Amino acid sequence: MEGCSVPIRKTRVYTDHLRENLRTIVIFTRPGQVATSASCSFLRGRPPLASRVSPVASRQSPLAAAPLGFSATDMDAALMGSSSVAMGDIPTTGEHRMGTTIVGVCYDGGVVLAADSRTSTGMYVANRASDKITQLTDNVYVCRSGSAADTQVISDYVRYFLHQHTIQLAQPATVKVTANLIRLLAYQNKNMLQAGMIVGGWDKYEGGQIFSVPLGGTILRQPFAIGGSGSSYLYGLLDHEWKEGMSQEEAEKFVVKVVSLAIARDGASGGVVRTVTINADGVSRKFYPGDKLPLWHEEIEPQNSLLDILAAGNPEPMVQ
Amino acid sequence: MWNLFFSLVLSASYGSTLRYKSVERIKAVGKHSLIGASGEFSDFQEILRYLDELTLSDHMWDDGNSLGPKEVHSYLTRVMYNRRNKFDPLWNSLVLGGVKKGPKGEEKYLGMVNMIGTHFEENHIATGFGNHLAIPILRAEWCEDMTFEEAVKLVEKCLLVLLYRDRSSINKFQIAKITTEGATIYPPYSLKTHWGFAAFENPSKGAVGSW
Repeated sequence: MEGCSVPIRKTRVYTDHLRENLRTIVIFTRPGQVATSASCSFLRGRPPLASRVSPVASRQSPLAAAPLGFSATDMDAALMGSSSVAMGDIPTTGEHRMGTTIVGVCYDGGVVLAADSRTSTGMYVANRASDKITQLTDNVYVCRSGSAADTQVISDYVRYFLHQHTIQLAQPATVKVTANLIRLLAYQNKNMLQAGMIVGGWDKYEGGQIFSVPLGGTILRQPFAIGGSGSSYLYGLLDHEWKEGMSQEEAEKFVVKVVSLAIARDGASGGVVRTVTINADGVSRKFYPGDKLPLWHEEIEPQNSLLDILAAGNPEPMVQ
Repeated sequence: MWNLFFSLVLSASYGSTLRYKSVERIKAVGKHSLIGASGEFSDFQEILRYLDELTLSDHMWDDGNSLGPKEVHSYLTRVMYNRRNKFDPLWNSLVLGGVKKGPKGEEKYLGMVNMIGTHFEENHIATGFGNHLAIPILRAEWCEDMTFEEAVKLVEKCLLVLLYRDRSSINKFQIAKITTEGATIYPPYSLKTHWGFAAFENPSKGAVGSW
């Protein structure tokens, strides 16, 4: 991990220099340990937090409710972008959204995260093979749904905080801390963000854990979680077929089935199914291409061409 | 010996979807109080964090005194009303209850505060649909010296009506009790429902062709 050898003194000088743009967040980890991290507006070239940041250098008082902030221009751009439907036009511009189906499942020994791969702008599929499962640390990943930009920015901030947190803690971050960092950003900026995330990972204290952080910034630990527009079609399925304590293979097969069923019915989900399995031994990514997924009701075996069907002889006549 | 009762449904909905069905919406606050909430769950989680800070600071005084339900209710009222004044409310209806020894012996307290800062103290409180369906039952059948068993039966009567008639309810409840000994939050449980009425089986019996 680069940055491990950065001496603390150097960090302090850096933060002094940028004092007017600093905000300190105090995070309670395990009892007795406290981690702090500083956020800086020069993250990755993003515009300064400007007038939205109030210089509160301690924990939020309940009456302050000041957001970590994004500049007003971001929001304007987002609002302008999505109002592009003219008479008779198919909407093809607008903010990048991940309609999405995302799933996270605990199994006996770890977790499996799964997602589809469709990113759309209006009715156009901007990216048919996106990766919605993003790494935050070595042992914790997050599934992203909602606005692509919002979830990318949240992931970037949290990855940055966790990097520093891990250095200070001198051991891997816990899944709970990661999920709470996501929650902080989601809750404090709830009026501006559209981000539904599922955080999954493994740590030595609690093993495999899944945390759901839906739209308002609620945080809920669950044995399994679903999210995104495709999840509407999965509530019944999971109520029926979920069971506790699956093996790794069962869990991986299960999530692929679940996501592919959602893809079958949700226009905003599609493409490939990606899974990430996290356990004590590490992380493994798997890739299930769209043409290898099982076929469901009213879906038929794909062919190269009609000509192949005709050549095979005995084609079904369409019209008598 | 004063007892106070809380009961609620373990559900957190997302629009009309009953999205989360094991959500515990009652928590103990300090040694003397219980808080229950309806509304936006993320705001309730934030309120619990504020209450953690409050009880921690109170504990750190190390002066042998601890915040009672009246004090916690007052704090919450200030928080809710001030947020309302900034047009950025915490979107909750909070029920706060507890028992603490006061100058006149053990004093029980039950009050509520909602997102616009309306707050009051009463012997029976309800939120949401409970205001319309449960409060009339409680007004008719509550009395000053109920036993634990009578109180449970009364509260279950209200919960059942709400289960039948409130679309956002589910058949999974949690009851909590607070006395001078402390708070007890009982594990979740379900109630039996009754559908075996002749009129239910044959609604249009006496009027064929009707509904």
